[in-house]
Amino acid sequence: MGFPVSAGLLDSMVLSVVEREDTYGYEITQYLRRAVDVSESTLYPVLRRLQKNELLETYDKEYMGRNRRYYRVTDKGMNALEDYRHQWTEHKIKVDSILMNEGEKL
Amino acid sequence: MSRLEFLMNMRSCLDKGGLPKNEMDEALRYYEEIFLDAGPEKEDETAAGLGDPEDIAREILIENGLHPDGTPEFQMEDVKNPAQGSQNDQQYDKRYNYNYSENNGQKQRNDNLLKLVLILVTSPIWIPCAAALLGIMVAVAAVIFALFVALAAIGFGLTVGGIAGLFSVPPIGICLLGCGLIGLGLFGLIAVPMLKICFRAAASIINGIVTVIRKIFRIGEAKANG
Repeated sequence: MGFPVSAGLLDSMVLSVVEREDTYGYEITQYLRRAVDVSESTLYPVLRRLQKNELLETYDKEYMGRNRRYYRVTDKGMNALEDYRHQWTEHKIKVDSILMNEGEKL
Repeated sequence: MSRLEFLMNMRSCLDKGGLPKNEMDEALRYYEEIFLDAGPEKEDETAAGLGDPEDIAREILIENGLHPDGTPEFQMEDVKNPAQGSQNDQQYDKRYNYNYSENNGQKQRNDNLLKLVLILVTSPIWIPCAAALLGIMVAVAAVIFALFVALAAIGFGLTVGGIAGLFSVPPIGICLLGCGLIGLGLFGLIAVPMLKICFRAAASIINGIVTVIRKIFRIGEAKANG
């Protein structure tokens, strides 16, 4: 991927992945890898930040005799995600207007 | 690198950096789960994908507003630790462990003695410095206190004078009374929060001194490491 992913974009993508269904650290990374080149180490500070800002919360669920930590989007997180999606749509239209020469259509 | 090696490296690095326990548990748990979810047969591969545990620990420390390579006190510990590590690795039985920890205590005491001597020898340098610093702090406190007293006195004086003036020259009396009340009001508004700030500042200065002394003599650190 030639385009670097900003912190805000990563935050919103993680929120979106967890919004689909509650999930755990390893799976979040695997899912994000479809689109961007991230490692679990890149994701840890992101998850921690989202938790501290109360956009994500965690709970433990038993899996194969151990507790696995699952992430869930909070109400505040849902609002933030809506906001992010809105901003992304605007951003995409603006970038496309230049990159894809779609300026005339606006 | 195995899962255990990776986590141990990370842990010692985070510990050295002084990361609070709950943050350390969170981080270690996250990385342990990554290893478990990736599969026990892929530990080497997972570790390679994650990168250097010390780099990861450093990033976590920075995220938490800590200095990644520790304070000088911690660096001194670096020199001491390898010996401890190798002795632990040889799996000494309880008898030897007991001796070993006692030796360690002895060494700690000697260290403290050395530090005490050093502090005494260098006292001609630091006592005047400390005294000067203390003098400045006392002076600042005295000035602040004097300003408050002056403000209160002016406010009170003008108010009383104003009330007296009301009966002789009413306009001037009212004027003085107004100024006096403004003075008293300002005193009331500023004095209470300022006093609070002063108390807090004094408390944190004393705390700071205690922390420095603790760090120098490492009181309670042996317990934390054990």
